[in-house]
Amino acid sequence: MGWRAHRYAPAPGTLLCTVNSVDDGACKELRFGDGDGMLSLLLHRRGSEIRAYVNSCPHFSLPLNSRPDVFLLMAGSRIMCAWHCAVFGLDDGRCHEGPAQGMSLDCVAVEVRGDGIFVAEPSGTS
Amino acid sequence: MSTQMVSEPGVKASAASNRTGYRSFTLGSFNFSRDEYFVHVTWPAKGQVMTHTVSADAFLRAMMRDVAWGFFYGWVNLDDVVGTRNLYGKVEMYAGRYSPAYSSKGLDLTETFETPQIMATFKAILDDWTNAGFDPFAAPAETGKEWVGNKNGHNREAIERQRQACKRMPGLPGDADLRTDENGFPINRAFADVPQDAPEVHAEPGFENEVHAMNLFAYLSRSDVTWNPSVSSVCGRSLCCPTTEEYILPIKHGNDRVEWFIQLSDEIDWVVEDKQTGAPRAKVKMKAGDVAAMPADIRHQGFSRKRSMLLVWENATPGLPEMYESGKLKPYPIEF
Repeated sequence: MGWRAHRYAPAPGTLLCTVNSVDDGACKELRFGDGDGMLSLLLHRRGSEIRAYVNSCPHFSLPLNSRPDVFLLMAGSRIMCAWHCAVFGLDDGRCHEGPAQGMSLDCVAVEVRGDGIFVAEPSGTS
Repeated sequence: MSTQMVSEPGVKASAASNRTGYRSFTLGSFNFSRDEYFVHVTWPAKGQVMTHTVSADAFLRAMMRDVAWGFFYGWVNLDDVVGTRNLYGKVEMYAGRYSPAYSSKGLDLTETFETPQIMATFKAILDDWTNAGFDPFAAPAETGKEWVGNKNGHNREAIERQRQACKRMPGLPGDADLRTDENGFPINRAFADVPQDAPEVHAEPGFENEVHAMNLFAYLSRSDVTWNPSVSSVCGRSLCCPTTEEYILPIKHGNDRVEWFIQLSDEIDWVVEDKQTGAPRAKVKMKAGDVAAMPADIRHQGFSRKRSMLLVWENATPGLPEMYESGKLKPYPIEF
């Protein structure tokens, strides 16, 4: 099931946040919905580039952070899941080390327009 | 936004011993060394150096689980004296803290490390001390005795095994594969009689992609490790983590939440102790079909004389440890 099928998934064109609200080199968590069924997204900024993923480690399907909006970043644009130490590259979302090795974070397509970060249209649509 | 940068300091290791070929390792104030038969852990306390000695095979089996499980949930006691506690972002290493003979006299030590640092150190220890021919994941009957003696090569293929996990359930399109001869999972010697047929799924039109089933016994009969649960179904925060067990659970797992055990085949004897003191709490013999809830305030260790199948049911709800520690939740799920 892709993230767009999630009941709280933001629609294409939704403004997620401003670029400047994500510190360069850092991550930011965005939550949609409430409770256990909420959708958590992870934004990472490197210069003018923004990467977005569903904030769910494919090892135990847990968020990558154990505390709200606090992420464990490592050198080389990598992030470590706070629960069981899976390490993912933030450039491509792939797990290179730890219990989710060979698996990937679900990528969320976003686009930057002006100072805003928006949910992109699904590929193949205009 | 409070991103935490975690550093990756190098592993502190000695040169290889001229006598045994093994390196020694330092993690904070702890020192780890091994010889032909034993691992020695030392730490400072009250102006003296405390020493603790463990059989090297037991130590390697225990540390293998701690590394493979990513420090798991709560406490992983490598034995009665030393172990780790996952603080989910950092990890405590302790010696004697949960052993009253040490802690009551102030002879224990606990230090907290960035997770990458302790993980890198533990991996380096495993890499250096696991000789070719010895697989710390395997039952003693299925691996060699090459853990004995001086350093003799590596077994990286065994210790760097990829842990199996799934997003929803193995066998679904885009999810983890089912185990087969072809992908490297032959039927284990103890489960030669387990039927390998697959369930038939006849979904109502429109629900073809929403119904799935697998033969869990067949899946488990092809497990290539012991005491190493793999995630085999995910439903919200409910994780089914079945595993096959033989010989002794190499660690004593100190729960930070209730864990449900469902014995799927054969038997396991469990020794249940108080998490803080190690005082005996219960002995439980689980036979096929038995269900047990391991409370959130205990440590447990299992003994399986024949390879058996166990389903560990985990509640992965974030914030559970705090709810148990604060008393908001009782450490057991029901009261009689």
